[in-house]
Amino acid sequence: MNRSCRRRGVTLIEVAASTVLVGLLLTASLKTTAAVTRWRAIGVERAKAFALADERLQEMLSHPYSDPESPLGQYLWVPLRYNRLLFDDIDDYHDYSESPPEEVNGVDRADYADWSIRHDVHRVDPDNLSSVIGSDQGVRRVRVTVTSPAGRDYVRTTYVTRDRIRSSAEYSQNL
Amino acid sequence: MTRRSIPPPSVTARRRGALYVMVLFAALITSTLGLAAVRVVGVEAATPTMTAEEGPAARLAARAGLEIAQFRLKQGGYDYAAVATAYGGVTTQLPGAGSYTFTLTDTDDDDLSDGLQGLLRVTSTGTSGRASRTITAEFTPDAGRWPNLLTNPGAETAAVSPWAFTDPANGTIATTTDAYSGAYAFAVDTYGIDTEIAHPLANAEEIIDGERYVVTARVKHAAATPVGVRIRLVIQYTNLFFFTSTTTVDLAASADNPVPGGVWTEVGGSAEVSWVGYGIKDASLEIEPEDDTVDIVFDDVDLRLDGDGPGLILQ
Repeated sequence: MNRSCRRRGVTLIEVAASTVLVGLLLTASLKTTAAVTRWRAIGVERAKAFALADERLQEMLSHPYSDPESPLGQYLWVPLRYNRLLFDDIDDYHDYSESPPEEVNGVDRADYADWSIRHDVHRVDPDNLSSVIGSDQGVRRVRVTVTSPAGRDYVRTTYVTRDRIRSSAEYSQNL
Repeated sequence: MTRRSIPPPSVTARRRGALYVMVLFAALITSTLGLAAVRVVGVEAATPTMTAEEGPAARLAARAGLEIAQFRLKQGGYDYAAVATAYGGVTTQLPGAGSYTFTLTDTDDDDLSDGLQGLLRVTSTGTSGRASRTITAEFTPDAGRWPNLLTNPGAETAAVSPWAFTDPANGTIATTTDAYSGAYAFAVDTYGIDTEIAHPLANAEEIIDGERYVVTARVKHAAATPVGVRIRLVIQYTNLFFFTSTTTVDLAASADNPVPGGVWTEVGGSAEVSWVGYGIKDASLEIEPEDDTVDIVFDDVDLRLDGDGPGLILQ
């Protein structure tokens, strides 16, 4: 083989290197595509979960801090908690869960089949909001946890105080 | 020593060099596009987090800051300047919910140290992750926020009702023109047995468990020695077994309220009410001189929630 023939075309090493490079790029692109698909799926799930959590928090925040009629400690009597129509203060949601999530009248939500939601309301120290306390000093932590069919938890937390505007309807309309 | 010259590149070699440059250029373009795509994917992945998760969380944090501002204002006796100094502008972590910062300003002159001239503006900024939201609410003091719960505090219409002896056999109550203020007051003629005069509340649900209530009244009598006057709230409610229970809360103890003979004297006190059960059924305010043999005159009875300050109205 003369010299010009050797220079024409590509060598085996160049072909091998190109194959490896293309292979790496292809693998990376496939992984990226899979990751993007997964991100999008989780993003849709996250948006749906937080939509439910926000909706439920708005419902909770529309209630007064304390029970206007039945000051039964922290709970509405458990047998009365078969749906949320009887809930008239934020405490009534404590330790209450639904699977699947329900409308306020207790009807299952078809758009959230296989999902679940639970609520926690705890009294916290006004000067140390991470400290859960037994007596009511005027501040409560309200937490809604939505669990997706895949078992992922989405948590929304806020804090309410006894000295908020008393008319919850007025408060909700303005804020 | 011979000098060797470098031969000029052949036409084939020049073409091959140009090809390498083109390949490098194409690789550069591809890499740039790839990096841009990765960046777009990153932004696309982050945007739902920002919009679905952090934005509403920041708004909730701002709202919590607004509520805590109200809590601090009541706790601080509505001393706006002191609360603004102690808590205004301080970023506070809300465990699991971001953080908030609130500020208080006077809409009239931006100066709270001279009292509130205009409206009280509370601005609360909540932060969660990369998102930040601000809520502003304006309040005005509400001096009449907690009204007198008694429908007939001073007999101003010359009517006695709904005041009555808890046991009608123990005495009579009528109106008198010997008033502390206005035209009339209530005159109690006791038979010396048990001098409890009660005023049922028109709306018992206005008595809220866990809240503090304050009572004041003007009392006069003609006895030679001071007489203690007790005022209490009697609450009937449904207990845990669905029966009716009664609890009595001493708002003003007789030992704390001695009334000397012959002069109008203000008596009063406050207490937190509490009971364990379901809905409140009835509530009434009772006033009773310690000495059942002493006839008294009383006027201007005032029972209201202890607002601990002027309260606020959302504008």
